[in-house]
Amino acid sequence: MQGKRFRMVWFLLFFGYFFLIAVPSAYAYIDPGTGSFVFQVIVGGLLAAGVVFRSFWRRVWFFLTRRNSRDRASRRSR
Amino acid sequence: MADRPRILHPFLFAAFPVLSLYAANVQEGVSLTQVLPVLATVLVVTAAATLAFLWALRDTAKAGVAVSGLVLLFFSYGHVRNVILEWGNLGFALSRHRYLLALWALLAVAVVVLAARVRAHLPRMTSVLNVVSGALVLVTVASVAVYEGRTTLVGRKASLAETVVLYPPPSGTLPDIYYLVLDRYGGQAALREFLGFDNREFLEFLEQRGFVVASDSRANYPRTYLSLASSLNFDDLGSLADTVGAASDDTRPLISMIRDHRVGRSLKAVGYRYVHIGSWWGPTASNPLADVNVPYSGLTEFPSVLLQTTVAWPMAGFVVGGLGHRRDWIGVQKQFEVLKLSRKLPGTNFVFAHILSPHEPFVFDRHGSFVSEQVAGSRSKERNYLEQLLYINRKIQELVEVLLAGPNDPVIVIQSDEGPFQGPGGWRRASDRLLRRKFSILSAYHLPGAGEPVPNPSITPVNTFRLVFDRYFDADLPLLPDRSYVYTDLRHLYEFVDVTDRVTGTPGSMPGG
Repeated sequence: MQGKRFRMVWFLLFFGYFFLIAVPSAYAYIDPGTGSFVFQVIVGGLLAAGVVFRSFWRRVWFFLTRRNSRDRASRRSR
Repeated sequence: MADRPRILHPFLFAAFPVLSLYAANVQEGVSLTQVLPVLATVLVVTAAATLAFLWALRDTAKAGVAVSGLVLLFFSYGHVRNVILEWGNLGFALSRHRYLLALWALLAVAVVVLAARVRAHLPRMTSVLNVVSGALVLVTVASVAVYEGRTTLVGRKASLAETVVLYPPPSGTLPDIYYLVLDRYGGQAALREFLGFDNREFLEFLEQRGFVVASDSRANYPRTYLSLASSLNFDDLGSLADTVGAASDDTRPLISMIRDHRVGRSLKAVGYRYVHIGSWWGPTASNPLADVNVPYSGLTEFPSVLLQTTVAWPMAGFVVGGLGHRRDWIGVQKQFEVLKLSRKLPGTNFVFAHILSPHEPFVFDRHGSFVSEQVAGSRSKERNYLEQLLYINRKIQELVEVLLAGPNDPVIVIQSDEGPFQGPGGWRRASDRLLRRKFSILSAYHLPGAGEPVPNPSITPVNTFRLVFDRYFDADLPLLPDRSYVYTDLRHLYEFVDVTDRVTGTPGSMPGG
């Protein structure tokens, strides 16, 4: 399941890249490189979001597990 | 107390757009010498912004987050707009600067407010941003390195710039030589057939001043890189294609030929002073061979294109009617002024000027008044082109009068490198009609005292300096066949196909015409 999702993300990124890279330049001979810029920023953003989410998820997990263990402990004491 | 991470990310995020533009254009010959001053400027401005936010927010990490956010917004504006413009009519409506700038202003305020109020674990956030921005820079630098590694060996082999032996005339008097390249100036045939315009008045002016106009002149190649590399080395590019390989998109071998050319080297060897009048285009912005380099007025191509991706471009555009337009309106006029002044230079001079007009952007009307980006956008490209061409005609007429007024009659070649308008990326399926438009060029020769100067009306630029050197310097260079070639596409820049027969076909009689 996880592998399928992973492949889907790469599929979207791959086609997104070629969609974006087709943006033409105006009067100049050099290309503004919009495709690669946007692609890299999106990948960087996903990377950052992943790290933040992971860190956030740990806190949530910690919060939930600590609460559960406290509940269990209080039930046992009763 | 644990070490707080260093605030590197604002600088890395600021360096990324510059390096990304470099990476996207290594094959176009963008070099580190163009990139480093821009990078330094961007980093200095980022440092100043970081200090300002540090003073305002009293917290290094918060200041870093604010500056990084603003840097990303600043440099992503043009890219986001480019993407939106691809969405057809909806994109066109949404991409209006007034909407996007308002949105960007809101986002900028949001970034600063969030950075000021954020209560998250800032050292952790700083580490994440450092890693992400570092990865962006690293990937960009790696892609440049990979491209360099793949192409360096062939790129460096390309120079053809050995000199030819020129013999100065027995009289010992060398004429000044002017080589003026008017980018995308169409020949009479193209102007008549595709724009319904008869340029006879201008051509007759030139003839009255002693020019011979090659009435059916054609370009050898449909792109400036190839065309100038060929004409400035008076050779076709067949041997270069053998060296570089057909399946290459690397323009650097061509740029090395444009910058280190046989015409300049040969003339310098017999005592000429080389005066190079620069354009905004990187390969002709300056020339290492030149004794005198006159830089273009305003920003050259790399910083201009970078600026076009930023918020600064439309904001400045509102004030001056389009930054690029204003730059070229000033720059092209300055090129003509410098050309006039060059006549006063002592000694014997070879003056080369690459004038990117009537090439886009269209910034002149026929009287030379400024045409803003908005006005040009509201007119057809044909109208814009003709207005600009009429103004260039006037400037050339003024210039010719000045150049011919001096005591020594100079050699003057006024020539275009390719015909009107931007061509397609690939030429494999180009129609005969498109080929006729793109290959028909202006070629006018003022060759005083050289007898019968132009051997045939369809002479091509590859023979320009063969002719000049043969007539004035007894160089004994045989004329090459006047052939026209297209390349398959931008990834096969050296895969040449001979289209001479299709280009020379009578209008209307060719299939696909």
